[in-house]
Amino acid sequence: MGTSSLRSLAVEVADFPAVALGRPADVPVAVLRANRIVAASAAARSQGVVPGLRRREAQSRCPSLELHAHDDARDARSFEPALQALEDLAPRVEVVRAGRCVVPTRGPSRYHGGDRALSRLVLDRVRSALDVDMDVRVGVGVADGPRAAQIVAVEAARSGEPVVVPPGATADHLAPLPVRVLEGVLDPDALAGRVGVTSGGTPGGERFADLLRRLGIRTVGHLAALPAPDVSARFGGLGRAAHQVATGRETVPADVVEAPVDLSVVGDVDPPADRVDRVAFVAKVLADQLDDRLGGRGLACTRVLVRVETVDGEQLERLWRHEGVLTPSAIAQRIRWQLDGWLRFRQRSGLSEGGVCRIGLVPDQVVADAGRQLGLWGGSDDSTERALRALARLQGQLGVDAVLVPEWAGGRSPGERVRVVPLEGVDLSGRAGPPVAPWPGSLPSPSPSRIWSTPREVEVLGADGLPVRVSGRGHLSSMPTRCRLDGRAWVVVRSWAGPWCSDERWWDATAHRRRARIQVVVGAPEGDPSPEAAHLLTLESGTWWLEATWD
Amino acid sequence: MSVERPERLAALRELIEQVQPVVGAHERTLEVDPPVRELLPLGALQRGTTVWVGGGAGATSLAMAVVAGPSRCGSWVGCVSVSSLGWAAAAELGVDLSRVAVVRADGPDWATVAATLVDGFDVVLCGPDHRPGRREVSRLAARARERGAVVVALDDAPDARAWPGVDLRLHVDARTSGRWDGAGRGWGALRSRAITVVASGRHGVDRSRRVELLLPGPTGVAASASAGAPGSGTEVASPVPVGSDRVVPFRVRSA
Repeated sequence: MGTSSLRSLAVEVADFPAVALGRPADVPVAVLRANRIVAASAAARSQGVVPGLRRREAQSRCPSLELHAHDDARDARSFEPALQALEDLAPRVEVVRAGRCVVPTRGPSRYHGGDRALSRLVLDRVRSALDVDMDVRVGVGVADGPRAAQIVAVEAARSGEPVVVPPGATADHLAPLPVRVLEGVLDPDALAGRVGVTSGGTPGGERFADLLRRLGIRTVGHLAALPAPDVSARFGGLGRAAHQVATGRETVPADVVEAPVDLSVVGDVDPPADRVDRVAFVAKVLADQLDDRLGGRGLACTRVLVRVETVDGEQLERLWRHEGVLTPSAIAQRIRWQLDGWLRFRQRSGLSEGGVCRIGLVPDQVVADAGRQLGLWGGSDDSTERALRALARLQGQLGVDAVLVPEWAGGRSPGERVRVVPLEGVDLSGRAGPPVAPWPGSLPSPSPSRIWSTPREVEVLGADGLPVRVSGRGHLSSMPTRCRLDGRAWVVVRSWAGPWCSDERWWDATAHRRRARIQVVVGAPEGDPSPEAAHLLTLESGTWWLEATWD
Repeated sequence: MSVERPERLAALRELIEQVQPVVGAHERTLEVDPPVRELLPLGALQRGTTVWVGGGAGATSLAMAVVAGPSRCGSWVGCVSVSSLGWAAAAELGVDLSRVAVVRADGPDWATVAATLVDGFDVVLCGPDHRPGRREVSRLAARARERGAVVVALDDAPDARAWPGVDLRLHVDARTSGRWDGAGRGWGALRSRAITVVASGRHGVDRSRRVELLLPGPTGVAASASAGAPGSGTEVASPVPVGSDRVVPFRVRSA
């Protein structure tokens, strides 16, 4: 039986995105992704903020909550010290994601005096490396198999004590747990934050667990009791993997094949780069090359070894694992994370400043590529590939923050409806479309085609010759008849509409804004056929501003 | 030795097959929305050309309407120096925002960025934040011609002086454009606007064309002004005379 060689130790830092922010323990903080809480600090949790809540719900439960946007790179950077500390104890640390990693225990346990001693040691080292307070929960779990170990580690994070499941007892240990625990270790798309359907219509992890529950299979033990061939026939590869975890008989991830030839790719960075941005382009090219090589043989990669060399001859190797398949962009992202964390760590600890001169990628676990579900329009077509390549080049030249894509968001002011956000943080395959329901209080379409980032003051005079005001009930003091911008010539208001009043964030003393907007069509004083221009004017604290123009 | 006539004909036909270009210029085009079609000499955007959009109020919407068609047909639109564009308006005019990328670049980087975008994108929208120099413009145009991309230059200036040698100028006539419909004196809301666009240029546009458009139209997207309206699609002899001091009420230029 080869199972003993898969005995693994997993480390789980609960709510790592919140921990990575490095805020004091008594400040309730939470991390948002796509308007949902993905992680909350202990202080926030004690006030009822839990992952899955919407922004509004979370704020209503805890008004002093500090919200931050999710940032993979920040997480990876903060996790790096823990990985460095782990590597002193055991080789071949596999990173699942920031905040979670797996180590094969066979060698290290013998060296450090058993699983229990090792897990104690790991817990202490990770805690001191991350330099976290006592209320950050770090879990260390040992079980037969990397996925089972992750489940055990999550459980251990709750108690704060390492949990070591004796060899062969994994199935019994997992049996009483609800099937939901399998979600976190199976769903290939869980990291991307979406529920996907894998090829052949097999349900993705989250739906899979849901489906099991509805079929009456409520605990892991229920699933383990089913005959393996039946589970496999009904649920495909995902079911097979789940069944293996449940029975404690994990093998190397399903259908790993022996790589027929050396598939690794190596790229030189010339001149050596000490900034991540400059290495990023090489990383993307290498990842594409690797994908081509694997794709040519009908293979895909679930674990990749990223090897980075500096001019001083230093080497950093790190294994990245993924429960699904690592796409080129996912690999490139991981190289970035690794470099980002590593370079900062070195700079902070005053180590040598030599630049990165070489990057190598070794596909470590290779599986037959079962294909992926393409979007209705083919997912990534030729022109998308070409465009993304050009954008990657620009990211390398100008930095990742210079390349943006528009994304639908909500809001009342015209500039809030669509925001341009860095491409780096956007999942192109799962972008939100325009909102289906109108945002309450927003202006009717058409939207203005030009939005001025620096508002300019406008004087608006009414029929009575006095500046126009808007009452608390949304009535204008008089009909606007004339206006002028920045002290230029007066123009006549030919028609106008509104006001649209908004009272935003009234519960927040600093972010509270009361505004009234009117649309005006202005023209020259006389001469009827002369052109008109339409502007959006905003009244805020007694002053009218030019906010946008229908150009 | 004379070859039989039919055989010679067949041989000639074969020769024609061999020498004629695989794709004619008129076939290398990008589809646009029907109202915009009237403005373009081939009824579509010809790849490798540069289109200037400017003039009076409505130029920004016109540029958005021009790139809307290609974006919905799967072409990516790369934008540079467009910090003031309202993307919600672009979406309402039919632009598929999932096919849009925006690159933030200031003065010195502009030329490199635009060149890189031309390499990778079917349509490149150069916004009004940056006024390129003559050499930058001619280099970009040459590169677009080579790569088969369409460069749409949105300009706040009243004429195309900053973009010499463009293939097509879409000039929004400031004197007759901008009649808004929908808003009254305190009631309603802006709905649609009539503009007059004068298209002039080099290839196949020897005589400039005047086209009346509703931009945005009553349904949000661009629409042709009523078909029988006087002046729609008629030819005018001279290119647009541009008034030196335009009377467009505080038309705002980005700094």
